[in-house]
Order: sequence, then C-alpha cells, then structure tokens
Amino acid sequence: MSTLRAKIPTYSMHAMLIFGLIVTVFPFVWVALMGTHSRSEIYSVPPPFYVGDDLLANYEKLLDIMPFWQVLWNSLSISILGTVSAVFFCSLCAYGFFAYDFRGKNIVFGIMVASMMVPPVLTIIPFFLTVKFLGILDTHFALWFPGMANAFGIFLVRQYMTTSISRDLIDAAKVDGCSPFRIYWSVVLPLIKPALATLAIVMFIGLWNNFLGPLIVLSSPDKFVLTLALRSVQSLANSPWGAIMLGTFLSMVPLLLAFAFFSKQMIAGLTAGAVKG
Amino acid sequence: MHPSEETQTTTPTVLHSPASRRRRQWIKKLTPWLFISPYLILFVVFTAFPLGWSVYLSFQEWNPVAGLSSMEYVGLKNYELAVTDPWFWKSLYNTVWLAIVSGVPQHLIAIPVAYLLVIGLKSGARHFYTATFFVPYITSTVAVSLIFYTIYSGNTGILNQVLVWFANLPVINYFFGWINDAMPIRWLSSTDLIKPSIAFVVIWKYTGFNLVIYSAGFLTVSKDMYDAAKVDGCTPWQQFWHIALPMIRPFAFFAVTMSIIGNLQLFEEPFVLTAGQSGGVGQSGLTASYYLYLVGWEWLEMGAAAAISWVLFIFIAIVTSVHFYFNGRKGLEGDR
Amino acid sequence: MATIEIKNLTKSFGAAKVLHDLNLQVEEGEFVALVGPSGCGKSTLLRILAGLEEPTSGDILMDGAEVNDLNPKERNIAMVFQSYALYPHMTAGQNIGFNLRISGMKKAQIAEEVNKAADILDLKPLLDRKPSQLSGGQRQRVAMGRALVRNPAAFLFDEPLSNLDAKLRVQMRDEIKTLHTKVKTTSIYVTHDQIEAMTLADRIVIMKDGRIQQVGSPSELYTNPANRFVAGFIGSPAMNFLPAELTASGALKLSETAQIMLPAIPMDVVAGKVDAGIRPEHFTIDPTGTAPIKGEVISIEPTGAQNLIRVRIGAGVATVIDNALLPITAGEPVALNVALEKIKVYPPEES
Repeated sequence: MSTLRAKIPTYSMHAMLIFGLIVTVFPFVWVALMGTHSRSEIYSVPPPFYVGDDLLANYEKLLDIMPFWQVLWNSLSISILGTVSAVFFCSLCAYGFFAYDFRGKNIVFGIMVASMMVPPVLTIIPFFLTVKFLGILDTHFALWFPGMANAFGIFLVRQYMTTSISRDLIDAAKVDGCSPFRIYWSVVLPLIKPALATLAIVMFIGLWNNFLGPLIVLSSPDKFVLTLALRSVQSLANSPWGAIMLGTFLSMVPLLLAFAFFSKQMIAGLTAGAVKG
Repeated sequence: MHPSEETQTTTPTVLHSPASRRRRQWIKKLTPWLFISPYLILFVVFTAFPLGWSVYLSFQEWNPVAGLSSMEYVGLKNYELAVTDPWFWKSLYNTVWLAIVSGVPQHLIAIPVAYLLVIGLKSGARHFYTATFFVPYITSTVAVSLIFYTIYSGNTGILNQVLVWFANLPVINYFFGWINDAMPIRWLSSTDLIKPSIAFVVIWKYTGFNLVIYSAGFLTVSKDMYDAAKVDGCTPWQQFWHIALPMIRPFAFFAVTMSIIGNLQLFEEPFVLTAGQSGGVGQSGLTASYYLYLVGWEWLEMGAAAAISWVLFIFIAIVTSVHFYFNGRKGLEGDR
Repeated sequence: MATIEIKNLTKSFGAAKVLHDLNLQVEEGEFVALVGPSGCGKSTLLRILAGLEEPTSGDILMDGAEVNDLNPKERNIAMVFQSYALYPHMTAGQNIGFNLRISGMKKAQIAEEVNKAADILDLKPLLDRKPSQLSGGQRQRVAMGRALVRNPAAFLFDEPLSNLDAKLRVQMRDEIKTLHTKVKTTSIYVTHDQIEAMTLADRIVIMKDGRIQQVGSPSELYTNPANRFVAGFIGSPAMNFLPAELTASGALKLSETAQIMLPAIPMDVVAGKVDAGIRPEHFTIDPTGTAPIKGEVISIEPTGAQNLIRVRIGAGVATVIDNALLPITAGEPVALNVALEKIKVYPPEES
C-alpha cells in the first residue's frame, strides 16, 4: 500500500503529461485523418476516427480549388532562395562586425540590435511602401530578398564567431596572403557550419510559414504560397473541407518530417538567444 | 629549396606614390563597410527610410491601389479618425484581453511542467515530451488555425461532439448534463466565446516554446541545491517554490517579455479563426494588428493605417516599458 | 633573406603609448631575439614588423625599402604563432600549402614544396592528419612548415614554444636552431624566456616598458649589461642584488662580516648606499671558512648537478651556486669568495 501511495505522484504526473500529449497531438492526427474523408463525413455524428477512402477524391478536389503543386513549389522556392541567401549574407555581415574595428561600428551594431526589438506592427507598412515603390508587388522576390541580411541572423552568426574563431587564425591567414574575402570564404565559413545550420533552420521555417508577407504582397493566385492559398479557400461557398484538410496536412508534412529527424537541432535553433539570455 | 638557386625576390620593391598610398589606406578603411553593406543597404531601403516615410504617410490620405501621386495631405485627421473609431478601441480591448488570457496560462502551465520534466524524467524521456510539446510551434499558424476552425465548428464540430459524449457518460452526466442544453456551442460565432477560443489556440501553439525555455532554466539549478534543501527539510513543494522558482527569474523575464510583445500583435489566429470576417461577430475577435490590416488593405486607407501603426507602436512601447519597470531589475539580474 | 630596420618607431593604443621611438637594425640572416617581461611591447613590435598592426609613427624598412604600406604577404614574411594558428578544417599538408595555393602555384609544385618542408621537419607521415589529431610538438612543426614553405625574406616567431611542456620546449629549441643553421633566414624571435633567447639568438634585444634597454650578443649582455634591469634579467639563476655601502676608496661593505676591496672604483656611482650585483656563479664557497664574505645558510636547493645555496649576507640574501656539492646544512655559517672584477655596482633601487 505504501509503495502505491508513493507512486501516486509519479502516476499522476505521467497521466497529466499524457493528457497534455493528447491535446497537443490531436489536431495533427485529426487533420491527417480528415484528409481522407469527404466534407460531409467530417461533420457527421460521430466523426470517423479511421482512415477514410476519399483520399483520391480530396486530392482531385484540392487541385480543383487551387494550383496546389504550383503553390507548393512557390513556398519551396521562396524558402530555399531566402534561406541560402540569408546564410551567405548574414555570415558576410557578421564577419564584418567580427573581424574589424571601425569608426561607427558600435553605433551601427547598436542600431541593429535595437531594430530587433521593433514590433512588426510598425514595419509592415514601411515594408509595403517600399515594395510598392520599387515595383515589386506581387513578386516572390519581395518575399525573400528583404530578409536576406537580417539582424537576428547577423547577431547569431557573429556570436558564434566570437566563440569559435581565434584572432590568431585570421592573422595567420593574412600572413598567408589571403584577401579579406578569402579569409571569410576559406578560413571562417568552414568553421562556423553549426551556426549556419541553425540559421538555415530558423530562416526556412519562418519563410515556409510566412503568411502576413504574402498576404500583403501577392495578388495573383498562381503566385500564392501554401499559407495564403489555404486561407483563401477557407471562405468558399461549400468549402470542400476534406480537400482543404488534405492540403493543410500536406503543407505541414515537410516541417514535421524534418522535425522527426532533427528535433534537437530545430529546437535549439529556434530558441537560440532565448535560452542563452 | 634555398637561397641562391631560387629566383626568389625577397621584398618586392613596390614604389608607392602618395596617391596610391592614400588609395590603399582608403580601401583598408572601406573594407569593413563593404562587408556589412548588404545589411546597411537592406536596412535603409526596407526599414529605416520607409519608417520615416510612414510617419509622413500618417498625415496623408492615400489609397494604395492608386498611384503614389494621389496622396492628399490631411493633417491629423487620420489620428482623429483612429481615436474616434469604436472598432479601434474594441480592437485594443480585445488585444489586451487576449494578450493576458492567452499569455498567462502559457507560463502557468509551462513552468510546473518544465520543472516536473527536469526533476522527474531522464533526458531521453524528457526530450520526447519536450519535442512533442514543441511541435505546434514549428507549424504554420494558418494551418493550425484552419484545423481548429473545423474542430470548433458549431453544429457537428468534433469538439462539441466530444463534449456531448463526455456529458452523457454515466456518472459525469449528473454534473455536466447541462452541457447538452448549451449545445450547439458556437465557439467561433458567439461574441463571448470567440476570444477564449482564440486564446486556447495561442496557448496550444506557444506553451511548448516556453516549456523549452523553462526547462533550460531549471536545468541550470544544480542538484546540490536540491540536496541541500532536502537536508534542510524542505518538502518537494517548498523546493520548487523557494529554490527552483527564484533561479529561473531571468528566463521567466525573457519568456514573458517575448509573450507580451508577441501576443499584443496577434494577427494570424484571429484572422483565420474568424475566417477573415472583420473580426467575427461584433468584432469580438478583432485585434489591433487585424484592425490595422483591415484599414490599410481592405478599406484601402493607407494613411490611416500608418497613423494607427504608430499609435499601436506607442501602446506596445508603453506596455513593455511598464513591464520592464516593474520586473526588469530582478529579471535582468536574476538573484544569484 | 632581408635586412630589417626600424626607425623611430612609436605605437600608441589610444592614449597609451606602448612603444617609444625604437631604432633597430637587423642584418641579413641574423637571428634576433626580442626579450622582456610581459607588457614590454615585444609582441606589438613583432606584429608591426609583420604588417598586422600599423605603427603610430616611424618607418619599417626591409632591404632598405620602406614597407610601411605593405601587407604581410607583400613584405614576404612568414610568422609562427604561439597558438600555432593552424586551420582546423585542413590537413597538415593543406595547412602548409595554403599560402602557396593563394599565390596561385600549380598543384604539382605545391605538393613538391610541401614535401620538401615536410622532409626537413620530419612531418611526412603526418601530412594527412588534421591539427586536432596532432600533438603539441607536431602542431608546432606544422606551423613552422607553413612558414618554411614560403621561402620568406624573414621569419617572425611569436613565443612559439610557450605552450609546450619543458622537455618538448628544449627539443624544439634545438630543432629551431638546427633549422636556422640550415636555411639562414633572417629571424626575429619573441620570447619571455631568456634562456631561449640566449641559446638561439645571434643578438638579443631586451625591452622594458616599450623601450629598448640593450642590444647585443648573449655574451655581451651577460658580461656587460647596460643597466641594472638587463643585469638582473639575463643569467639564470638571476644576479643577486645585495644592499651594501661603498666608500670613496672603492671598499664595498656588504655587512660587518663581509667586506671586500673592488679592483677599480666604479665610475657612475656615488659613494654611500649601493646595491652590489653579484652573479650566483661568481661566488665560491670556501670550506676553510676564511674567505672575506661571511654569511649564514638559509636553505639549499639541489638541482642534481649543482646545489643552489641561499645565504644571508648582511641585509640581503644571495643565491650561490655550489658545483662541488659540499655537505652544507641550513643554519650553518659559511664563508664566500667572490670574483671581484665581475661585481657590478648600482645605485640603490627606488621602490
């Protein structure tokens, strides 16, 4: 009896945790299952908690209401372009802050840090203004280009540089005759791979899930990204919810898969800076 | 390899005229600026300069679909309109309400759960739970909101069905039978329930993130501290309250700050959960950012939107400053 | 090989002046050591010579031509760092050949040069390993190989052996010496260890607080130190400075029981209180007890081949080298002879 009493805290803790797990996981299971049913089945009583047979029908319906593969490709290309360019340009700028002392450096760095604290509420209108003024409304370019050299990424990479690159190494490269860019490319870049990976993860996730940007920039349906396309079919008359659920599920699959394999890195990357600070 | 056989020049006698010398110095000074130029250019073009422009814009009337030349100076009219628009105040109220109701529970849940995970589980099991609770954070808010949109559905949505099933279970029925009468619960289309429904989705999405932060915080408390407390006769609860909790103050400060700033700008959840219908019934689901979007991009009054964005910014700045004022000192220094 | 000259070199970091108006000439093929205590400016001077740091004023010349504006590569110098500064992501062979790759040499030729350097430094079997897979001594040799393969006008060493353990240090010292004999490249070697300087250098430059105290061969510095600092810095164990009284006639009184007559009256010291500089090796213990300097043994440090005896003489304590390994014990009185012509007299130190 006493051992049972002693175990109650453990059991109840596990019960609580499992309950939390169910609440957390349920929507994912739900969307996966409902992607295989028709709309009427989804809203039937009781709802079907088994794999249905409308998968194919939903798939066709999905392609009906939106150019799904085009949209998926849009999301993918924007995310990849944005991630690759961010990794390159953020590390380039980070190197400038890391390896050089110059007049005004602290001011610029301070502005950069301060800009990280400006709420997006304030920056979307300026962003829109510039995009319109530059004539790049309704382009993918406007979605991945402006965020290329962003304060967060520069800060992250520079932080990593200070802990893993010694000044002697840069001096040795100078003595060996490297130009400044060569030092960055051949000596520093190979040594900051972990920081680059972290940055890539954060950028990709942010770009893939981005909604507000596409919402205010894109107007042609064939240019839409997944988030925007899915939301745009929400209010159709008789929205085919089975198809929409399927589309929603498919849009989450890449990140979920990546998470299954790289959960540790993704968690670390997304909470970087938070945990340290 | 050595001396005489090689045609090895020792020092290249490069003649440096004063002009080329100055050029060299100039390039040396320019190099760091070249490295950070991508950031500077993008910052000026997409943030700094347009920020000033948006101040200017807030005093103009401008339909964004028309050309840039159609701006019309209207002085403080935009600010007046904003302040006299009942939707503006509604959205501020909703925003604050949501910020608190969706923010506080996240931390109230995350802290004890993080503590339990750190104390009670080995790192393998801990990572399993933590990772699973973290998944909502990495998925798109739009996708998640769409899913909850169907779950919350009024007539035969799954949530209502589960509640009905639960209320009709044998013993439970005695206590919760009234649920049947409340059906169909219109989670997203009744003014009282929209906000809590939105709040739940936000809590669902972000608690895992805070869980990770607090876990990291609790992990910094060494075992020795707990052992010392046990020797002093502390019960588990006292250990939690008096030892672990104070140690995570810096983490809590950071997490709460992020929650506040984030929750004051909720947009995607209310937008999708009200299906883009201007904040749902009675604008109960209208948040400040949502209102901003409406004004600028649906009502096409960009000037007004600019004015609103500045008002909101000041609002957020004030709230954050108050938060820093009351909690900042302890939060930033911790008490080690 | 090149001559190196600095003229009126000054360096300030902000308001702090770290190098004061330095002048120095280094001959072709010379091995010059820069020694001094921490903070004396020797590393800064080296970095300025390398081109990694800019002087505040003054000129640097190599082979008579002003090189102030040239970067390290253009000055054709190679540098060996205290921390080795090997590129962690490249193999030893790639580290050594990196600078050749930068200058556009063909792959085949690079391999040839790398192998030559590897031969000289006995690195052949290690070329494919990464620095993390090498021992400290091996890494140091790779760092030297990297410098060697350049065939530079000058080698610059920045305390390259400080990170090695004592035994390895001695071994590497010999290798550096052998290397210099072979390749005869002009070398400037910074160290805080005067033994390293004494054994390796043709000439030594002693620095203190950003100024050059003396430049000379090891024996010059040892026999004729220019000032008290140099006298106390060079020589191991260090010179003893014993408080004493000097009369006008040249008599030196260390204590009531220790008085000697100097062979010549010191020129630049006034009679009165002085500090007598006597090297430990210039004392001899007189077993008969009749020698003029009487003192009391405080402690004995055996080092194997010799004993270092600490002796109280008057108000001061001296270290005495005993090569005969006499059976002395602490607390005993002892009588010492001294090589009178080797005594240096200095004004008393102001604290």
